[in-house]
Amino acid sequence: MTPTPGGDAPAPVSATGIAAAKPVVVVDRAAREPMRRFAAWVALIAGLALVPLTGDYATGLVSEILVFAIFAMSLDLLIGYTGLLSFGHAAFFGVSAYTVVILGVHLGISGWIGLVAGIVVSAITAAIIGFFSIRVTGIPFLMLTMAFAQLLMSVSITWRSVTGGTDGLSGFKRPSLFGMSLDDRAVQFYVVAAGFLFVLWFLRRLIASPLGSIFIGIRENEQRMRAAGYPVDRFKLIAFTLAGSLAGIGGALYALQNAFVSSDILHWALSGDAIIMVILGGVGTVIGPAFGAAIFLMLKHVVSSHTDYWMLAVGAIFILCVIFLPLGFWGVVRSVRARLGK
Amino acid sequence: MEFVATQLVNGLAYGVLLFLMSAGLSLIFGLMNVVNIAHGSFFMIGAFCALAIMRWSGSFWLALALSWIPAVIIGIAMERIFIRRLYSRGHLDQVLLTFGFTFVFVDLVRMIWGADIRELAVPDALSGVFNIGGVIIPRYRVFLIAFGGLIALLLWLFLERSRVGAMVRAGVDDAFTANGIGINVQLLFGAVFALGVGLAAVGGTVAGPILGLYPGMDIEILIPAFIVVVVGGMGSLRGAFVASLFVGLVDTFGKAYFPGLALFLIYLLMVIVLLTRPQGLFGVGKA
Repeated sequence: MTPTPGGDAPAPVSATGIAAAKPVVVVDRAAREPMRRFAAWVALIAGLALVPLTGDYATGLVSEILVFAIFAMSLDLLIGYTGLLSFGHAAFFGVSAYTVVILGVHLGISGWIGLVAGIVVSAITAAIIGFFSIRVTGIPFLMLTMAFAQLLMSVSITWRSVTGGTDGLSGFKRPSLFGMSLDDRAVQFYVVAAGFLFVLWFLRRLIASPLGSIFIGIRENEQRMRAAGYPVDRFKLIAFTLAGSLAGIGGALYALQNAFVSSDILHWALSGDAIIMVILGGVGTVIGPAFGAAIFLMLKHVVSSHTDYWMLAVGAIFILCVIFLPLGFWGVVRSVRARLGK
Repeated sequence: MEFVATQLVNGLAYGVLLFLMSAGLSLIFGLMNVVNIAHGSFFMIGAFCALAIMRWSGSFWLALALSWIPAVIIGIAMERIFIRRLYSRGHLDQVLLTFGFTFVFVDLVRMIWGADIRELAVPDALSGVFNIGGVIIPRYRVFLIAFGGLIALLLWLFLERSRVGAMVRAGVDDAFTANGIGINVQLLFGAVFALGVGLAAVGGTVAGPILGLYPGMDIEILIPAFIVVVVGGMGSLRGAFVASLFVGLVDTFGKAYFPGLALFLIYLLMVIVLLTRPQGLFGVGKA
């Protein structure tokens, strides 16, 4: 196997059968890479720092985008990098959000402890669901992950005394940070943004690491990885658990932001939304799904302020994207950049 | 006792609706390896077309006879223009594609008919109830069970006794070899896709009087139909039939006796079958 070395691995995605891209030509720009990367981080952090100046509405929207960006990026670790099309990723996002709100409402436990507990619970849930799900591949894997998530949703609907059922559970008190309450939009935003930056950094490091190369190797050719002596199932389980834990970070931040959770958060429609974000933004790239989340949520909010039919727009764009732009928004940006760089 | 009998009829009627959905879903998967997530959309489109025809003509029977036609036209167009393009790319891309269509269809239906819950009127001949020794059974549900049984019989005869049916079975077993011995597999794919879509649309029409019509009914029926296909076995008509009745009964009795737990039990069933017999109870393992 020839794992792709180096930073942001070029992502010819075969997981979803999407045709491989031409390899990104790395010219002698390589020497300037670290500088550029540093500049990009500074620009990103500065840009995020300024968001709360734009007012409550925009801050709330960007905050929501970042939460779902975390969710979509974590899913892409499975779809884009390991080649596992999961249709039940909402399970981990939802379990974490439920943990935060349930601990807060019923036991009065601080949201910060809830955040850690939520991530731990989603990691455990992912390890258990992953243990069973990776035994099958392809369509059965898709069905099984969906069935597990729906199973959890049915629990959240039935166990009303704890979860509030379909009405949801409200009354969660947001914690405060250095004396500043998270009820403040700006404080909320910075907490979410910090989580987003952490997940972005973590995923970039992961993909560049030997472990990331093994994931990509499994996506490219599972058989050959087995033949090369890699315990493929164990690595799939690691990828599944990591992706679930990262989704758990997103779910916990969702809870801190909304102070509310209902069974919708475990519904397979949310898993489907995340898949759409991944494909729109760029499957098999680290940052792409974040753009996908932005495109999806902007379409939802902008189009729905003009017409009721935002799903039509999302669906049509998604269909065209699957057919004509299988590498998504970030894939297009990247190929344009590569062409200009020549 | 009366209660049990009523639930039995309700469960069977629901099972019939699940069969009309899952027969096509299962055949399409068995033959083309495509999980058509938009299958529920055709159930919904069929129901709403029936609503339009009933408003125009006032006849349920005319609606039943014609409502599947627009759905089948849309289905054929979708298969030819979109899905066929992606045969070379692999099944997961096709799944994503059909998933995108569920968004488009649900909004188109909302655009044309609005978001309100509507109901199809039951024709006079089928309204009212049978009273059998104190057990009250709505006539329409009895009709539904008989109708579903008839469709199942016709499908079985078609698949087992006709030449085209033999070709379909050959395709399900091994599409590559079927192509090699001169069967036009691509044409067969299109035909089976159209047949499945038509069955779903008819299912939506006959479901109209008991389940109601609303944008979102597509997803509501899709998940139980998935469960049926998984339990019965992808590509197996017999499996789809048995599993439909089973899931229909479990769901109905579960909701009556253990509300809440029913949903859990059905998903648990799905998980267990997927883990222990991924090919389903009646499916044939595929290499």
